Amino acid sequence: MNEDSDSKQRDFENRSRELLQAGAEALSADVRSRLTQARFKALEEARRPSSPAWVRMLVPAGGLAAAALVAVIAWRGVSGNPELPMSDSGRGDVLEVVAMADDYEVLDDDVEFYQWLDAEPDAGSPDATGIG
Amino acid sequence: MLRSGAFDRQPAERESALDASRELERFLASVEKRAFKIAQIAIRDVDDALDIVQDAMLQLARRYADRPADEWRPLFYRILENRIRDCQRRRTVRLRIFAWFPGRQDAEGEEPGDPMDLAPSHEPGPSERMMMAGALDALESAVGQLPKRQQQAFLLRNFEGLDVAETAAAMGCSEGSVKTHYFRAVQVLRKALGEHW
Repeated sequence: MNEDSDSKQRDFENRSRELLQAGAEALSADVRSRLTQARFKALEEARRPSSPAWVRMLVPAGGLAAAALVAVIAWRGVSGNPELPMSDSGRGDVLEVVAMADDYEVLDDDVEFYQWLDAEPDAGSPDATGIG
Repeated sequence: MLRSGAFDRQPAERESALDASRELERFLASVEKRAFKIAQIAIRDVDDALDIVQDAMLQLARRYADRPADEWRPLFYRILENRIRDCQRRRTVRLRIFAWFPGRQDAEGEEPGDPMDLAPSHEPGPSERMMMAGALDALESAVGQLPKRQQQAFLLRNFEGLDVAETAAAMGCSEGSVKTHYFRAVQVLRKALGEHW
């Protein structure tokens, strides 16, 4: 690279630097204000006392523990609990008794009818009712 | 250095913490405008560029405030470049997703348009408008079209004034790569801007 070319390159570099610098100095008031706010926020962050190392480690450790707990619960839910069918069975018995309650009531109400039916030997036959 | 609670300390230590805080403030104030311009040229959106600069400042303050002050610049620009890259990736993914649904609107209820529509929306002042209309406008546009690594090398070396080693640290590459990217960037820009300059 000859001297003239070097000189042109230096001129180009200087001019572009000056222009970019002028552009940076001509930022709008809004942008400058927001940059100042950002700087103050960063300085505030730097002044804030940092937590001890063991406290900083609690966050990831807590996260891991929570994730492990969720995984265990999910796994138990998927694999199923062998005691649950027995429990269902028990619940089924109760439901059966409740469902049969109406039948017991019918028996109680119709005791007299069954006694009469028993005393009339032909009451249930077609001949006795006259229905052919 | 800045981290421990200032009020729990002895006066000498408190004074030292205040000095460090002032030093960090001076540093951030010295780089914030250029950092914003670098992000704006790369991203072409004022709000995103401001978010990126704020994020880089917070990250530096949170993680590297204890480091020696002369390490802050390359660290800060490394964080800034990473944030710029993350933002560009998010945009690429968003554009790809919306390309699958040409009739769909984005989350804000606006049609996804040409990325060039994401250009800065703030109203420039009179002096800025004069410059933007001329050489600066042409330069920013040309720099914005450079390949990403050339753009980084040019802005960090030429605009921010980092030396080759600091630029390499900020870009996460070798010093040789920085020289190559920078040289190519200058060649491309001189060719592109030849008539304007």
